[in-house]
Amino acid sequence: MYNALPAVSVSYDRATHIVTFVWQDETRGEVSDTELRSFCACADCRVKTLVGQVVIGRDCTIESIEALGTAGLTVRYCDGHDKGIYPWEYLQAICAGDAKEYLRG
Amino acid sequence: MANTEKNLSCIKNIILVASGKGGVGKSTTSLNLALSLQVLGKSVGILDADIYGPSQRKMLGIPNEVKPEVLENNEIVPIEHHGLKAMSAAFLSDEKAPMVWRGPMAVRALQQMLTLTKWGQLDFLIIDMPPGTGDIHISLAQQFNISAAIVVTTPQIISEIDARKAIEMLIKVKIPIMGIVENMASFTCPHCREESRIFGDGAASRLASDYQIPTLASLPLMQEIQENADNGVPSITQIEGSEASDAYLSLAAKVIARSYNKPDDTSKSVNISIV
Ligand SMILES: Nc1ncnc2c1ncn2[C@@H]1O[C@H](COP(=O)(O)OP(=O)(O)OP(=O)(O)O)[C@@H](O)[C@H]1O
Ligand SMILES: [Mg+2]
Ligand SMILES: [Zn+2]
Repeated sequence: MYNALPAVSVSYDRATHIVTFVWQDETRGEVSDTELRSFCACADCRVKTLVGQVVIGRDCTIESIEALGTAGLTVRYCDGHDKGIYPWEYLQAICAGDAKEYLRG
Repeated sequence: MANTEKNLSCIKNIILVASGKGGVGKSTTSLNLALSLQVLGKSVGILDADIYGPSQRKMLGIPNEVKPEVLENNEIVPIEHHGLKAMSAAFLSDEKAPMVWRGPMAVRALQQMLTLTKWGQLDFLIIDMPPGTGDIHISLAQQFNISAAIVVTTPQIISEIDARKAIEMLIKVKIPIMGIVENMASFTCPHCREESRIFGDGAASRLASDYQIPTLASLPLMQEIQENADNGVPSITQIEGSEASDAYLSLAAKVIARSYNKPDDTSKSVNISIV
């Protein structure tokens, strides 16, 4: 359903708190900064999500975003957390509201 | 400094064998991979970077009294065994009074072992890493030209989680990940020959699809691998054509293929903006 190709562009608007992805097929996806943080792809946060714990209890903004080629995207948040590498497929799932299903495999 | 660079300058590929979790089979995989590469015609060295719990002396079956020669300029001649050039902290310290290295000292000790050893011409240097994702990994990445890493995991979820941490760390320090080795993946009952995946399923394939890295090998849990490691007779030097030696040889073949034909980086640049 989702594909592993890197996005064409990723833009974050601090005013609206929205991250917008443009995918290779020209479709778009959107997710808020806090929601993206709550689905952090790092090992510790994944485990929390899978066992139903709260990953982050408050709003969170983004400080920087870096693409790591085919591996995915890494995001540094205002709380300093930057461990996660979001696979491109996972980002598509998050935008589609399917993050938990994706993590469950 | 000139000397240290000299000792690494004739090594074509330096490959780390890492994992997050301990005890998943890094050392066993490192050694059998090193020996298999040699079977396939390559010149190979192995560095036991597990300063805290070195295991290659025992696995290689090198008697305690065999010590490497230390030259006047502090360079060390690696011990040659089964045709491999081997170096380990265990060779430099007394088995009964192991050196206690911590933090920056451990990092420094490893750097010295790597650079002071007279490796000579090698096609591959396999580095058997300590478990975890600490300073040692980061300093190796920053100071040396590491060709690639192989991440070992077992099928258990806890090992997958730790392997994920190792992968995250390797990507951040920009060491290319050649692939995943799933160890102790399946067990064939010696009585009924039925194969079962006792530790669960899918860890390697989940990691592989998440990070776009291939699974290089899925190695069975075999009593023979365990006994050989414990007795210092690496599996690959044993009975030709056993299930274990076939699996290691095929792993080595993939490592060679990926080392000399690096896929070109076709990742188009992603346009990132923050406003
Ligand atoms: N495929 C296998 N089948 C059976 N036993 C195995 C296999 N791989 C490893 N072992 C055994 O599992 C134990 C742990 O393996 P090993 O020492 O290679 O792990 P490690 O990841 O290097 O551990 P550490 O983190 O302590 O360095 C050893 O006793 C070894 O013989
Ligand atoms: Mg080990
Ligand atoms: Zn996280």
